[in-house]
Amino acid sequence: MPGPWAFLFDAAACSGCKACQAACKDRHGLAVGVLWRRVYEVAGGSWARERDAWVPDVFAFNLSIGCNHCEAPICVEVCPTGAMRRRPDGLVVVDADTCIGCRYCAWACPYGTPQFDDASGRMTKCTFCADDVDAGRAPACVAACPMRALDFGERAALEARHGLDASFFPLPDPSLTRPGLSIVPHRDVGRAGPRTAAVANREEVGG
Amino acid sequence: MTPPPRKAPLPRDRIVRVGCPAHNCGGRCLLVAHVRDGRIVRLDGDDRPEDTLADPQLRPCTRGRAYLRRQYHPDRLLHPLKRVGLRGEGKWARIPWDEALDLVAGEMRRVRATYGNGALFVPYGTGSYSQLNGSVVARRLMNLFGGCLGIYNSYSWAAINVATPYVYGTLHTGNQRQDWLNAKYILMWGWNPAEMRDGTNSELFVRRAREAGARTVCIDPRMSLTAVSLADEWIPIRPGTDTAMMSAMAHVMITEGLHDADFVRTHCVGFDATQMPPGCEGEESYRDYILGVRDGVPKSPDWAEPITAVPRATIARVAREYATIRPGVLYQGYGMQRRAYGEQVVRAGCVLAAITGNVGVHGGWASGLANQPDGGCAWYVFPTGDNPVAASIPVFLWSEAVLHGKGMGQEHGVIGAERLDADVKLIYAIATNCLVNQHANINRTIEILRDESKVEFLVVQDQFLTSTARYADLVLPACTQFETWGVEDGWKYGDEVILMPQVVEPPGEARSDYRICADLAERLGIGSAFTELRDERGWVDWCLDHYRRTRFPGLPSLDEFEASNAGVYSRPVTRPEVAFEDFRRDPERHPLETPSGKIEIFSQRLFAMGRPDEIPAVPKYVQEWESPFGPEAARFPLQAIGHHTLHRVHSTHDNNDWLAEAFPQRAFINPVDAAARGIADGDTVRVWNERGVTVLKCRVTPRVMPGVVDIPEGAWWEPDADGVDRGGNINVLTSERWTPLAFGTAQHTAMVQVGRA
Amino acid sequence: MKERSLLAFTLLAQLAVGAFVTVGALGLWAGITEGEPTVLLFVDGALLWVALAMALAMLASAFHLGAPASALRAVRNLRTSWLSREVLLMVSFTVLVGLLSILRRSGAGSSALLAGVAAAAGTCGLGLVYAMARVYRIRTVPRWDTVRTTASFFVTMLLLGPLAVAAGLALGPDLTQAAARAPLLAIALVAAGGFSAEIALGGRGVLHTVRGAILFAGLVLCALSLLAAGRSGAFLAAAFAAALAAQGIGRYQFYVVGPGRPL
Repeated sequence: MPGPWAFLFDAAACSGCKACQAACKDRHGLAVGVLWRRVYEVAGGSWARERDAWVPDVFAFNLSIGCNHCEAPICVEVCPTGAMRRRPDGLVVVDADTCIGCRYCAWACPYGTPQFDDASGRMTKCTFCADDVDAGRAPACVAACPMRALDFGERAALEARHGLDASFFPLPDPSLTRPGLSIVPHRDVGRAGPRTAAVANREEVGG
Repeated sequence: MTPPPRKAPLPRDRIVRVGCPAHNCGGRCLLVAHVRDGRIVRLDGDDRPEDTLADPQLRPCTRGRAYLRRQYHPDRLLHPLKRVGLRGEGKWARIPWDEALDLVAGEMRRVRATYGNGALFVPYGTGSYSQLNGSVVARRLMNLFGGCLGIYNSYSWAAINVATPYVYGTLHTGNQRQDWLNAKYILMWGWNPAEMRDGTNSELFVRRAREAGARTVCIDPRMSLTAVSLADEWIPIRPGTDTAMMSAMAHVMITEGLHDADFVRTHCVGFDATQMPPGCEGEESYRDYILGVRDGVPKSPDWAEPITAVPRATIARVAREYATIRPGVLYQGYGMQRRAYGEQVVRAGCVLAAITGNVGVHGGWASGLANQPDGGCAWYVFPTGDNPVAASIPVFLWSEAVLHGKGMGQEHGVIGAERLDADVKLIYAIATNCLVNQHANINRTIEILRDESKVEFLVVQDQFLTSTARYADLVLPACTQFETWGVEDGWKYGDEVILMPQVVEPPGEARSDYRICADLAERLGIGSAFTELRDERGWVDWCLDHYRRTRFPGLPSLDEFEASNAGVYSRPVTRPEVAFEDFRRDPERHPLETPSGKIEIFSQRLFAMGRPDEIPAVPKYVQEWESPFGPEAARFPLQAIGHHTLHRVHSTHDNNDWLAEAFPQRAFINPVDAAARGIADGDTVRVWNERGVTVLKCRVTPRVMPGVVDIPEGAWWEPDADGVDRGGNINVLTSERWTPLAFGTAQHTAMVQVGRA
Repeated sequence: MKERSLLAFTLLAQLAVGAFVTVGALGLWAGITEGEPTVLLFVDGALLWVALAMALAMLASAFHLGAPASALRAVRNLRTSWLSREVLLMVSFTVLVGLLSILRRSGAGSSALLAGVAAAAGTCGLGLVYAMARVYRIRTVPRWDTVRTTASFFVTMLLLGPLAVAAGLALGPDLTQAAARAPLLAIALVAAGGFSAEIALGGRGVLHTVRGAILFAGLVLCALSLLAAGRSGAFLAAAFAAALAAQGIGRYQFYVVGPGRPL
């Protein structure tokens, strides 16, 4: 059985266009306010006047995050009903029928993954398009990306190629939940820190 | 809205590969529609197994992926609506189709009888753009009805369309994009393919070129999506000053001897005194201008810095890079030519490409409009026929033709006739928001449209009640592309034919643009001439035949194409073509279609126009009529620009809730300007000048340069009781003044002030 | 604020546990000193109030859910989820308090059984407060994952519980002044400690300054009550109001600060 699965995200190539986000919403019929995949814009820097010129010292990059189907998923640990569970193939899924909508997983997840659906009162989340992946196809977000910045593969393989330990701002320490997320860094990630950068599009990613 | 249906495929679902509905989006992509019980329940993207450089997948953008929120929007127009009350009041009565069509036919006859065919008008519009739908069908109707006042050029590419041939004699100055992998340097000047899309996959080709070793630079007032993902360096430049930087770059190249002197000598005219065209020997050459021989002002980086706000050292460095890292691509974007003297920047960019010898070589790029060497995509194939009315006006001057059409002449860009013989009295607007929303100076336009003695009858055909439709006398409900047949080839770089079979039935009483015009034609006694006994599918067959006879000889028949459910027929590009290869090799045997047969750095034809201040014979920087350097800047110190956001395709999709969630309409303002005004991120701000006011929330970001406020174009105009726009529409601020040579829009040239609301 | 119901839940539950422990101590003391029977009557009444407070607390917490009707599913992950454990302890505590109340009123059960039930209830109650704190000690939420969180929950218990009982003693007609004096003195001491601990925990901002002022006022009221040597319960009733306000503000700040925004 293939898996456990992980995403490969090329932050250097991501333009922030959100085709991945839209494709996911269409694939799963998501309401406004429910974002199984979110694209965070990270920006910082300043402007200086040099004689008659404006000189920027500005940087920006994007992070497209769905669910990282972590190896030590804290959402599963804290879920009181057992609705959130990790499958043998490594995918973390939530059973809507069991979920009582307490939102504890949303508090705990450092990636903003669990999304509360107002209509049903339950938590929902990225499923890695398990049906498609099981049938040999790519998740919707991966297939959609016009820059080909998203890919997926077996965790071990991605770890060997690009590592699973990206921890630049604003990512949390990967040792906390051991996410299945491999990132090719943008050249500016080294410049981003809690005092030097911010998520610039908070209102677009649920706050 | 009702929640979307379950998405997992069921055995009874019908899967249809179909072109993404053709709007003016810059892409031509492939969708896979899942149809269940007569409704599209899901859209996937191009699922062909191969995704190669020669034949990449045509992946739709954010807007294509979110399309179902538009397709099934509750505000879709379902019935013909007749105005009750005054124009613009927004009061309607539903009427049956027969009555609506009788009304249109009757008015067409009346206006023709009273004022002549020249008073009939079909405005520019690209809301639908797929051969069989949109304004093309109305144009065919009018042409069969004796004609109407014609239009030429476009809102998008007016200056670049007109200016490019003055240099190269043609619009086909581009190479096939796979050739970019041969470039060592790519200068994306005001160009943002990752966001506005300029041909599906253009951004991917730039990415691959960078991976193959090209250094990439973005010059743009804002750090666009392209700057973030595709550029090694971003250089912000004051809007409207690009020609100054280009001139300064030429200064560096000339003074340091970095330009390709051999190529200039053999392939160009007008560069210096040794090669001026006959009759212009003593006139100012390009070199004279750049070095300041005649006007005493050398166009050096020192001169350009206070104009452009780009540091002199950076200008010099980019000049050296572009001149020496060869071959190189200088790709000109279109925003910077939608400005006051847009023709100058087009020519200046072409001249830089020429003097660096980047013409006619692999990995180079001649700049200009850059249509494809073999002709590229056909744009319009559907035959509109000949217009018996000889006169045409530039698209942007339609309101002049309403105000004082009769007697309007060459000074207003009229071609085909000396003078117009009538004002515009009847407007049949299909798939366009260019009357109100997208045209400059909305407050001026609505006054013109309100006057029923001017435009006596306005019919608007659309899928939604847009701000243009608000001023109609009659609104006709059109169906979407999914609900009728169509066909298209690739945007600008067309190496594919994309089929658009009808996927679902239109809702309510909505009909296709083609069907509506066919029914009108019937009433006007030209029914069979209009249809030639073809229905929509029949015309698609006709179009395929045209494609087969011209660029796609292997194209299957329509029956085969439809049965295969492939959706797309593509021609892989294994050996990208390069423009001007023959001219480069042998300019005597393969001259350009210019008066000299060569690249015209100095244009005799422009010189002969005798307007050196606005239409110089060599490309020059001209200060804009609204700029940070004029007296207007005292009251209105910020430059307003409006980029093409992925929230919309111009004004299409403004009501798409998934896209509004992804890209909320905001005024983007720099922290320096915000702090000076006590504005914090998320505050509601007022943006105003003498022409109007708009109020919207702001986003304070370092990604736009100081002195500039960016309000993405296309938001729907929403005036409150005081006439203040609440939708964030930039066109309440823009000016109707046109560019001097092309009579094109200069909507990006606007000075404004911003304050907390 | 989305978490209003959780704010009410945590304050009510911590109050209830604190009150139970206080009432238990009161009952023990009354038993040992063979004091006035009115004290024991008071204890019976108080147990009912504790059970009522817990019922309200459980209702409040259920309101936070997207599917409140299925709330009891929340005990299914005792293996790893502190929320499951909290729910179990909460239900156990409430049931045991109710049971104790019924046993006492009906006179059934030996004193050993009563003592056993009381001890079990107390253990569950203290365990409940601990579990509530652990719910917020999530390794991925540094703003909440501090000793301060745990301390704050226990101090709330120690402040609101005893002071609620004191308010009951002061305002209830059941007790004579004499019978109430010793308990009120003890409560005043404990509450003074609680107010001091809260002031020591510190904080920042305008709201914190306001809260600090209220805490200080509460401390002063406790001191006044001590000076009155337990003769007046009114001071402590006022101190209860102060404690409620201060802990309300504090808990509000806790939830508004929230887990922080992910990424």
